[in-house]
Amino acid sequence: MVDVNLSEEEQVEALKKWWKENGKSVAAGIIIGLGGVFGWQYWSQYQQEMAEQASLQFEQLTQSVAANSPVAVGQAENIIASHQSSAYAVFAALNLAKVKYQQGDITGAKGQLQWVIDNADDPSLQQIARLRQARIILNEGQVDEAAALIAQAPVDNYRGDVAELRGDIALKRGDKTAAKTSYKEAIEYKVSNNALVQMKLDDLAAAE
Amino acid sequence: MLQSIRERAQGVVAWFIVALISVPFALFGINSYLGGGSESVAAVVNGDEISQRDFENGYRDFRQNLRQRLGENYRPEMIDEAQLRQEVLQIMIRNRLLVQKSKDLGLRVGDEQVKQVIASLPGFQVGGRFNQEAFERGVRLQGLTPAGFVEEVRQGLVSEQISKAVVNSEFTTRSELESLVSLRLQQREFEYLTVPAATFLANVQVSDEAVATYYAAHQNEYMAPERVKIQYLDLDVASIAKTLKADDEALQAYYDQNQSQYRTAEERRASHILIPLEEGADEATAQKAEADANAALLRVKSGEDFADLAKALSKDPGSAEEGGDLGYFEAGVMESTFDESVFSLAVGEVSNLVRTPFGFHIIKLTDIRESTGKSFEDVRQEIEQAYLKSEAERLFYEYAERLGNIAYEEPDSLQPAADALGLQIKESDWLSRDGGEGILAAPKVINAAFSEDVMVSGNNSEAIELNAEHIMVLRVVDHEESAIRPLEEVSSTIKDQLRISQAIEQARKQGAEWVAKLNQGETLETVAAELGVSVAPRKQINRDEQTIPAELVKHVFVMPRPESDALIYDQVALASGDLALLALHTVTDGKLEQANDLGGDAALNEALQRSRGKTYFQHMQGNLRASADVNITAQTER
Repeated sequence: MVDVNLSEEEQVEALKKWWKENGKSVAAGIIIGLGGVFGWQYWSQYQQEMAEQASLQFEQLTQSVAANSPVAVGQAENIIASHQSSAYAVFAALNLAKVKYQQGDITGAKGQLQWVIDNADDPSLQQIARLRQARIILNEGQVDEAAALIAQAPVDNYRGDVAELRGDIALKRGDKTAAKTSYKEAIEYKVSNNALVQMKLDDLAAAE
Repeated sequence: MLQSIRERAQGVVAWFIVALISVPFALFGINSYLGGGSESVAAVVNGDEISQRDFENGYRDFRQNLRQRLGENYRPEMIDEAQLRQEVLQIMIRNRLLVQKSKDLGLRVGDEQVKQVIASLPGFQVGGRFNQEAFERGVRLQGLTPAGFVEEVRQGLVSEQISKAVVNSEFTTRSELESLVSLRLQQREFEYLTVPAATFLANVQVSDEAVATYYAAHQNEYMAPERVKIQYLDLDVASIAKTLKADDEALQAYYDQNQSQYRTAEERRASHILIPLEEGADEATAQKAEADANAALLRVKSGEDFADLAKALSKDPGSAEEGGDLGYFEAGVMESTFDESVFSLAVGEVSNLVRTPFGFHIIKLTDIRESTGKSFEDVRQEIEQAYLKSEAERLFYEYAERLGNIAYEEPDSLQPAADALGLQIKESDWLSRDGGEGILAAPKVINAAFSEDVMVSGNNSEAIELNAEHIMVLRVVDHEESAIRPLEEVSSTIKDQLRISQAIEQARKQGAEWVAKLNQGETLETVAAELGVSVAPRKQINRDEQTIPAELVKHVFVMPRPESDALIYDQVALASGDLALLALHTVTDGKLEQANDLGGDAALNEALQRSRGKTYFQHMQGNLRASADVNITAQTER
């Protein structure tokens, strides 16, 4: 933009002219750039503060749930409402489902778990919610609904847990052979209470 | 001139030179992007590195933790290091995955929460309250900076939140609880008889041909394992101590040096009256003080009560109120002139004026507490042992180093090392990889003996540290490959084995026949009468029954449930070799009301949901691991 062959005055003149033509865009560029940087910083800061706030609320909720405190429901609902897209909302919903279930609110508990299945980003958390929902439904005697729900479960490290539940469902239907097959699968693929599943399996010996 | 440079700089040669110069600039520092710099890496987890140094630190902490948890039972030589290192690395990978997941989920823990947790750690408290200095010291001891430690705690809290969210939100449904109680507290009523093993063994004949056939067919079960014979030198503090002698002079010196361990020092109790006189005071003041002091001394000598006088005249703020009493003290505690005086008085005696930098003292010795404890003669033996041990420890490190060096420099024999250190070469019997007895059982020793360098190349091993006070060097003197053992050597074992298995086979067949008979309507009593044994009384048991053999209990609970009134008959071989025939009468499921037998339904609920919650969390970790890109490059061997 500056030609070396021009004299000093001509150079200054050229610079002035250039500034007249482009000055506004340069200034705007700088302002937008700086605004972007500060805006981004402010935004991250805000996000972090929100996460820390949710985290603190979650810790309090955990304590309330452990102590069977009546404030747990309100605390959980508050987290879900004010941090909807955060993982803490999912954590709160899992806890809220437990509290509601223990209070006898089956529909509420199922609803929370369904919300986790729909909203959790993590496949394991979805699996956990699905298993819990199916267990509640089975306990209500809705065998087919429970079966349909776990039929959607992908095969992963929860295979043993899913198999145990499938065994329980089969047993409820009176299909001892299917129950045995499922319990065997559960033992083979690590299940939470191995001794219990073994007892369930042994108890079906008459079906042979 | 500038013009000419500018003109020439346009040429091809100039461009070439510029290009050449730019290469090192462009590549400078690139190695830190490519190879992760000079630090070696133990594992890469989803592109995130665990450095070898972090791994070593983690491993060290883990071992330390293990040592603390096991306490006296900690036996370093029984730990398979390679396996433990592998495990620790896996744990670290799992933790790293959890950290990544928590970042992914956007979990955060605020400064306040972190502070609270740190303030509650007992290690950083003084008198029950958080102490900044204790915190900084403690953190530095762990080789961390305070900021680094805070981050570590934050990370820990964040990772913990996932497990909290999963584990604490678990519940148990009513039907799950019922199912547990019904099975766990199930009762089964049955009766049984046992047929002794001898009944079946008596009828069993095993021919030599049968043994030979079996041997031929199962040769690889009779492999003698690969074995070595080793020579070794071992050096430990205790045996060094045995070779040492101590002369009286050294022992006396040791006793004097460590007297506090054997004796309490003599202590004296004194009272004093102080007439203070500052050093550098002028003549008049000094004379006045001395006159006062003399006056006081006169009054003491004339029989006035010392304590009363001290109260009235002494200007020592600490003791005047106490009648001048200073309590008991050892020699060397007080100012030297004062000390000398106290330790030259007899009990009840009063000193003349004693001049110290504080002023004039009049001292009265009120009591002597004799030195107690053991004299040199009393503890001579004890001292000799302690002295020899400390000498031996000193020598041990020196010898250990020499042993290692000589064994390394002369790798073809242990003799030079033995000669240099006056050790006896010991020789072992045949050793397999299962190890021998005593120190020869240590995995470190076995690993060394079967190592390539020692077993194949025939070199001396490195110095093996069995524990902090015991090392050894070994070499292999004889080596035998794994081989099939000759028939003569194993025929009697095979014969016994065959007899037993045939007896069991016979018992099973017989048992099946009897079970068939029972199923056709014969009773346990008639079979018992036929066999000349008796039926044990009918009994209702639960799974925890202790009074009958465990395998019998176990079998009772895997038998089919009797439908209608028909009994279920079965047989089971017991560990003793006996055969049991049993008849199952009834099965009664446990009821929720009986849950108290298992600690109450609240506790059961709790236990069930905790174990389920934990497994759900573990399976979550399993999923993370399964979908992760993990590359292990650690040297798990050191």
